[in-house]
Amino acid sequence: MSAATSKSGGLSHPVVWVAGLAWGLLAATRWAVVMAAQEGSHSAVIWHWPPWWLPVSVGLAVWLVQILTACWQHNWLARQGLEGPRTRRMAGLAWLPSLALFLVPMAEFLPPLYGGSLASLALAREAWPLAALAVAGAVFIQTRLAAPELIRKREEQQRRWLAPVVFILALALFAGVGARLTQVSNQVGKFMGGDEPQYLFNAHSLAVDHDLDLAEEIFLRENSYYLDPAKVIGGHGGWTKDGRWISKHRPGLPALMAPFYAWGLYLGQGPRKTATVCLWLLAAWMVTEVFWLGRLFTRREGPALLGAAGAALAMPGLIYSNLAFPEIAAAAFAVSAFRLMRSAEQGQWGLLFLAGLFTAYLPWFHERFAVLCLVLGAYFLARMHWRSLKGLAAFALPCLVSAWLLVTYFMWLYGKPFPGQEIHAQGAYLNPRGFWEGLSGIWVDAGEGMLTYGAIWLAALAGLFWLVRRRFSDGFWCLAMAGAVYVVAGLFADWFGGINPPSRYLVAAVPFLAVGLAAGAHWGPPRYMLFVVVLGALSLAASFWVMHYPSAVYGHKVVLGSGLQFPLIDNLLPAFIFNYKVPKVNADLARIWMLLAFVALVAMNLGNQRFGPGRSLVGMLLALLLVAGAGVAADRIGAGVLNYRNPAQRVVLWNRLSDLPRGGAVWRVGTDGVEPKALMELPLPPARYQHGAAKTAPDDPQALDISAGGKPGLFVWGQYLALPPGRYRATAVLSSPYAGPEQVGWLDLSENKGQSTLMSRKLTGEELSQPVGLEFELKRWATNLEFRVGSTGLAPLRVRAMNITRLEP
Amino acid sequence: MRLSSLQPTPQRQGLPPWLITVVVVVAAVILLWPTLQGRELRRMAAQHRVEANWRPDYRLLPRLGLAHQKSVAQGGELSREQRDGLWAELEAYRGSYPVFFWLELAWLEARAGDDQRARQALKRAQADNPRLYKDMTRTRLWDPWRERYGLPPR
Repeated sequence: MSAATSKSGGLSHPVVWVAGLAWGLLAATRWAVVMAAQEGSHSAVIWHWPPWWLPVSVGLAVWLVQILTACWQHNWLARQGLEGPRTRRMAGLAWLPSLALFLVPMAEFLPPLYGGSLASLALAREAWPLAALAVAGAVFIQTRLAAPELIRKREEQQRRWLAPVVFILALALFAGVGARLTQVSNQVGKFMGGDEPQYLFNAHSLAVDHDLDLAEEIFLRENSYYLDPAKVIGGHGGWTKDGRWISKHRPGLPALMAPFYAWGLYLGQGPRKTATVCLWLLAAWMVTEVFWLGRLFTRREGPALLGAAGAALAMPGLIYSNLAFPEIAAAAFAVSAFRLMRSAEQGQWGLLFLAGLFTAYLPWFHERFAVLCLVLGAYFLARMHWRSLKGLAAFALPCLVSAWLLVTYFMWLYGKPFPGQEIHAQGAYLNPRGFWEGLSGIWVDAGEGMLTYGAIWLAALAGLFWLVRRRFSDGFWCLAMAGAVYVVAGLFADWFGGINPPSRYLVAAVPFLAVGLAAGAHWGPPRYMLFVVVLGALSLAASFWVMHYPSAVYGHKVVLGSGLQFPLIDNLLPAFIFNYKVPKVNADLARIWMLLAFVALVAMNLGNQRFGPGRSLVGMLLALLLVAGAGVAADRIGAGVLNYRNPAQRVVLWNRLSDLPRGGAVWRVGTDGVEPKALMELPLPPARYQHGAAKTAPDDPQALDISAGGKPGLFVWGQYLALPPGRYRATAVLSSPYAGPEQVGWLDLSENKGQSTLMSRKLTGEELSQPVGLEFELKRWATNLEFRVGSTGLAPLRVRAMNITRLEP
Repeated sequence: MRLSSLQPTPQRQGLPPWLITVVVVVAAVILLWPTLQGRELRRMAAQHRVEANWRPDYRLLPRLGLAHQKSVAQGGELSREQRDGLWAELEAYRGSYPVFFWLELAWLEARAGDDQRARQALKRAQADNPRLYKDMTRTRLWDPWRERYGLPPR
């Protein structure tokens, strides 16, 4: 067959053309900006389109690219020596999964048209890149499976230099994260929260006084080496009977950090920064251990590298590599002890001694890690290392000595061999609000869940089951280690880990889950890698987003959805801490997403390595329908996708409207007269931005009072908005008992943190009987924009409400 | 050769053990060097701050740190001039929670043997924050003078 015939022959299958239509339609319909509105039981969806030629030309261009890809695909198969009608048919059928893409525009257009739930519209608007990625991956996989004899035999490789490279790369990554956090914290305040300063305080005491008594450090306020000197901390401590002030945080992590911290003091640099180097090393060591363990199980480097990459790049490992909590250290020690026991031959007492030391050290990070020690002890027995007396002594002796020291330490501190429940923040260990909250929330909570910020861990868990199936002992014990961490954390009343970044208490499970990625990549079906790619892309996006805006993951905020067109994450997922007033709704929402996760786990453990584009299409359709179905169910149970409570979401929408080329059509579906007003108004509650002598009004928590007689000055400022170009109106509702002609205050708009004033208006007492405002037009992006209110001090002022409205789309 | 049912591991190759040991020991000494300075490290850190004119509103902090280290190193001896300087700094201090610094100053005075000024500083601490005064004088650091100054029992 000639090359020309071969090229045209690849396009002769009708599936190629229908698939091209699906891709083109998807691309053409991405350009609309969609706004949904609801008034009572009436709703409307408004599509703002660019000029018609833009979506049409983009759609045609994507179709052309698809046709070219199909030509290349057929030629590739022909070059492999596969020719003839059967090859043409297989090449064409490989495009069959693309037909699932028709579901995306259908999910956007049909439900509003027939008055159905808008969840599928919202999901399609937000998640279409993932659907496109999944479909493209499915076509690629089917093309490869069309020529199964070409799939390269997997080689077993053990290159010695690769582990150091993994370590160095991980170290560089975590140093980069540290640089980013330093850069951001210099701008908006330090990120240290919760227990971090207390751990550093203990490290200071160990470095300077070589003891754990924090009294001298408190008197000299030596927390000022890494905190604002106005702040006083006490290490969350209490007095012992012999008059020492001892922290309730264990000395394991401070002892590791102390030498690094001391270098900071010695050099006159920030000791927190040098202490963080210790955390980078621990985190990089953990990643390297994942690589070693993955290679040990699969005997291949590729899957092992995937596991290591997951541990390093996905949340929570990524950010906890820089936070002074014992989590990352416990993860490194636990996985290292595990690997040493797995690698050690009978009687290799040196390795077992090292494993014993790491195991023995674990409860010194926190007593909850004693559970991991028990699992590791059971693993030691299951590996039959006890049959050698030297091996038994090497492992057990450090553990017994450590246990005895720990009991002695607790007896000295608390008068009992193990701390009671009273030391926990809520005075109890078990969650009084029920176990489901923590056991599900730790995975799927909008603000605190591991899968919300690192969806890749679902693929890791699926891979872990492949490990159980193919190497039962290895899989069982990895699952036992990860499960022990999960159960201990999930049952805890503070399962969310305080105000710190999400899934803090699952960090110690990260290496054992990450090994699942290696196992899944090695033994799983092709769809498993597709799953990894899609969830990996989602996880990387979340990681990048958190690095862009790290303060968002502190303080129980639910803002992951603010980067999206609809606040999906806020409204369709449970938010146990943020939405604590509706526990039943949260529990039901969690059930939906946990069920979906379970279905995904089962699906990833099925499948084979045979060409089956029809099966792939059905799978893809089922996946999309399942996600959409879960979204619709969550929409009905929870607050619903139209509950716009996140101000940042509006700015994202305004930005898209600014970017939309003018001159296109506007389509409306739904009730006439229903307008998306809520999406065009940005409320700026005055009480949130009050300064100086202004006080929150006693009868209205959103309003504030400014008393008379003070010096003239600004009392409301600090919104620091980033607004896209467009026309706006800033409105304030003020009142005053004085209604005369004298000036009582002023409004102004400034940008760049007050460096330049865009506009200002004087306010007399007469003008305050109705809302006062400033209309303005931004020709370019305005950064750190503030809408400020000042008072002359002539008369008392009450600032009741403030907002900024976008005047045109 | 004895066969094992466990997975074999490759034969160990690479650097000789003595070289690894030397490198580890040298690295450990370098890493631990500042920690080995002990309380001298407090002086160094405070001295860095004094030289950098760190936070003029809180310059009392490094000066107290220097005095503390000196008092410990010299068995309580601290010149009258230096103590007078600390009094003046603390009188001028406008930051948060001065109670801790009055207690520290009282401790330095007590160690220097000036009972009258120690009592005076304790009174200032008590006047500033009676609750924290009562709580923080439970430290063992006050044991030698607890009865003499009528401090609350531990």
